[in-house]
Amino acid sequence: MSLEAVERIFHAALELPPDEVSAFLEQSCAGDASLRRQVELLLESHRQADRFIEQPLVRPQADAIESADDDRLLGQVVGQYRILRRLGGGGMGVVYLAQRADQHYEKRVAVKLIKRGMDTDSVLRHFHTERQILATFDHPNIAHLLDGGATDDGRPYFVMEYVEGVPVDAYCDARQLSITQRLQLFRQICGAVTYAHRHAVIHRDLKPSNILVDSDGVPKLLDFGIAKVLQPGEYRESILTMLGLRMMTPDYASPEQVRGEALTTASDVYSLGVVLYKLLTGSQPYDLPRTSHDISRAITETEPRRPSAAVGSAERWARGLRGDLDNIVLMALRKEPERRYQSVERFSDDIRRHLERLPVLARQDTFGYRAMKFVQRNKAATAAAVLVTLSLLGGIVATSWQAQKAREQEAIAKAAKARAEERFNDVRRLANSVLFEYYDAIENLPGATAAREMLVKNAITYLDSLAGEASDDKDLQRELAAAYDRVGDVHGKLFSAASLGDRAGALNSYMKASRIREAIVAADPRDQRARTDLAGSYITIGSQLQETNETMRGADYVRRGIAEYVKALAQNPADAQIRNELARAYNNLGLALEEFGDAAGSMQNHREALQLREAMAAAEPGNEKYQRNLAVSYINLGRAQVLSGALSDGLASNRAAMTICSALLAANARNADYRRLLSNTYQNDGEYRDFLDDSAGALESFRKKLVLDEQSVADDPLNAAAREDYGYANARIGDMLAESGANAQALQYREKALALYERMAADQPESVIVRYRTAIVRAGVAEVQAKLGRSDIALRQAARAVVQLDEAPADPAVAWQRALSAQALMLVGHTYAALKDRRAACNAYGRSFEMWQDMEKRGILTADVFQYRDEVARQRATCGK
Amino acid sequence: MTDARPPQELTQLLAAWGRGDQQALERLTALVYGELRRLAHHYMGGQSPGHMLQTTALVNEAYMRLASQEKPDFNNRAHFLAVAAKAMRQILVDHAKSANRKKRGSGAGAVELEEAALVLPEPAREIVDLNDALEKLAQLDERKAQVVELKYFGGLEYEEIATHLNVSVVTVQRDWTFSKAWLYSELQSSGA
Repeated sequence: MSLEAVERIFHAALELPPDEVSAFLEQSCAGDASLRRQVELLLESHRQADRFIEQPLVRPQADAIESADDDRLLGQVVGQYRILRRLGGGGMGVVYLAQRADQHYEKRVAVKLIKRGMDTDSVLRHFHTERQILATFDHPNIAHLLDGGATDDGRPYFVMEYVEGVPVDAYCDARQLSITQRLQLFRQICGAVTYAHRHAVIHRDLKPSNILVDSDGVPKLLDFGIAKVLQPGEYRESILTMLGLRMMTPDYASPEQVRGEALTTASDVYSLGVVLYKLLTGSQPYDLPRTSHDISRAITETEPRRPSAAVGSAERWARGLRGDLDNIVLMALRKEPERRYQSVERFSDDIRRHLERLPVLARQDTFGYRAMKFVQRNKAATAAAVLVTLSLLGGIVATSWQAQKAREQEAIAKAAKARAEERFNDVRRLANSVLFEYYDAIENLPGATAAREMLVKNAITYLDSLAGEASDDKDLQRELAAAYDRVGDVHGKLFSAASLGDRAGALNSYMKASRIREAIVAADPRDQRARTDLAGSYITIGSQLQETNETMRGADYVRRGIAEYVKALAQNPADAQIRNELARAYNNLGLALEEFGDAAGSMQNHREALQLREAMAAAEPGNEKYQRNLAVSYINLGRAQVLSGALSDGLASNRAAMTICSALLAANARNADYRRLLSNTYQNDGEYRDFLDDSAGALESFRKKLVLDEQSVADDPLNAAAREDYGYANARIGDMLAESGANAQALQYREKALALYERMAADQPESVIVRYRTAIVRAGVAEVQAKLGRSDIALRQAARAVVQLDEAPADPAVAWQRALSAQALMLVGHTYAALKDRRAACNAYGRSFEMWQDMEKRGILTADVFQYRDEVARQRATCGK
Repeated sequence: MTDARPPQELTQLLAAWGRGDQQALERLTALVYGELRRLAHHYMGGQSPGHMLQTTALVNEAYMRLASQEKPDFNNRAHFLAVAAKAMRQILVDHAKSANRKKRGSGAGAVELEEAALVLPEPAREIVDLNDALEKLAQLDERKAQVVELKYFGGLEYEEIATHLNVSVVTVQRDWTFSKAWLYSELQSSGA
């Protein structure tokens, strides 16, 4: 049917005042009742739909909603700070002025609230590691980072020294500073960045809005360490992830940052170069296009304009820039990190030389360099570029070997030695670039599969040779391991467009990485980072193996990962991050073992996880996430205990989870997750008690579950998961009532459950489990109808249940399908028995019994259904022959 | 080593799709889908074990990777985003379905809790329901379903959708208003 007529009338009606709609519909639908009904339904839906699907499921940017959201924070206390007013908003979030709430000091601070969508756990983990370094920072031009944490709704925030000032570019313009004054101010900024680099901290987000100048003319750098904290990966630290798609204005981002590659101090050199460009010319080095794709191309490919050419008609100013300053700025802005100033200090020093009229280091690009760029820019010739790169590598490797020899010969001149070491480092950098940069550059090149493979292989060969030469160099070994990981990732997609990947190749590389890390750990057992890296390696391998169905071997590697985490934790018992990872690993291994049917092993692992999580929760009683994790471990432990036959232990563990979840929900009455978790604990409690033949107790628990599920459905009527929970609660209450002989009451609940399941089955015809559950609930309705003496309905429902079972896809090896079938047939048997049809009853019991026997033979009969099997066996025994 | 189709076909595929080749679209979607999966795998199984992965971060990352890898032929961002929206719809729905499948199996109905690897922004079943309704809508009016896909799964703005579908912004807005009401009533009538 076409929508056209409906649509036309719908839109026309929307334009009308409400009191005219009815008459309009009367007239335009011209007696077509069905058409009118459809339009009315849509108009009603339009009124109700409100914000339904208005928010994109995955939205790159949520600023508009957030700022409204955030202003609710005014006057609130975040951490120890009361929010006073909004200072501004930016890429990462909103900044507020705040004051210590406990009034110990008058001190004002800036609180930066990070936008939604960041992974809070990882941000905080990074923050904790960074904080130790940042706390030691003491530099007059660096604003202190004071604290960090997460708000009640899980958004990370940072507390910084409040700097009253204006962005450096605005400051220079407002004071009409001369070129020399600007350069002097800029050098102070360089001093602060150099200080941070000496402490091994890269800023990663240098831009004028992070460089404020106060009324005394003192510049202060904000946000040191924050960019890193906000970035998840080790070497895939893409600011783009952080910035989101549409808000991305990476005016100050370096090419390697745009590509999401490893960041070094050279990235800060680049960003400072852009800042200086802005200070000297008032503009950006490129006219950045509007779309993100073009922006990243501009940054990674376009050569910047010379500063002197960017100031328009201001000829006197341009003259001041021409020559040295052009070269200095462009040197900082080079695309390849290794071709920029080697440090911020050198950059600053070159500016000093210029100010003192000394010759500067910066030079124009050479012809050779530009020729190389030309090759790289022309895709057709990229294969040539690859060869150039490779031969370049070869040459340098040769020199590096000489360098190694040189090292051994003490007699060699000091200068030569230094130069040789520099070459050695060149190779290292270049080999890394091959893996992390050039590979991406030629990734999309037609027919370049062989070249790509060669490139990767060669890079590895060079790295291998370097590693052999300097096996005592731990940083190098670390890099090498990271490079193998990278090769593993690359392998995953190298040989297939749709990323099916070469798992064996990937696995091989991950294995190599793990072996290197093993060696690092063996050489220095106290190196904690190496150990946690190694643990990560093992777990990566474990999950690779599990994906290729080598589940047992995969579990072995997860165990090895666990062993390393355990050792790392022994060295550093207070490290919350390791504890957290270790608990996670135990939990996952526990779940995996349960799937293999190893209930004892599963129990053991959940117990370990529990122990860690208990300690974490005890150390930070206010941390809800820890509480939640603890509850999850209790639930999983309880389940493993029940499956291994320790019923009362399982019941007790589950009760512990129940207590925690109740407290969580009490503190957050509208939190759907906590509510569902609590409902789960009641469900388990009911199942376990039923299993212990305490059907009155089970009934009580299922009723509590029902109340919670009912509320979830009321809160969110479209939530199908909640509907399913609600249906299940009704069905189980019906079961318990039927067992105690309260048939009339049981009927109510089973009919309600049947109605819910029928709707679910209609919604999701592909869901096999819903079909089985519908059948079993229907058989339950038949059973109680029969007991109440309503034979017609009972027979009809029983017959339909059998048809439904027969029509459902059935795999005799799938335990739950068989168990549900056998239970439904048992209920059908009860129905006929109540109606005194012995033959039909015995027939159903017989079919059910065969299924139980078959399950037993296949070894898929689990303890939780023994009671039904026994019941069927008893009934069948009365059937005689 | 196999002679598998290398990913550089992206450009050609986009061009082919621009000429109306529907097969090209399917392959493009597979490509973006693959990239998303790979990234998800990378984060989940890779360097940070047990890491909770936000879909938003994942998708942004995939967008950026694919968009910035692209070479000159590919200028129309809206077209690319349209492909990404399709892939994203597919991956989210697949993930939502598997989340549903995993949920309950045992005859006794005890609950198994897993720590989510991928954090879905919406309850899994709702995504699946909406997806089904959207398929019904597509049967009646292909373009309206596309508007929803682009806006809801792809996060495109009206203007971008208009560019991609080559219709006016007003048309896109009308399509959206109607589709939203239609989907809402569809989900209501099948809901609790």
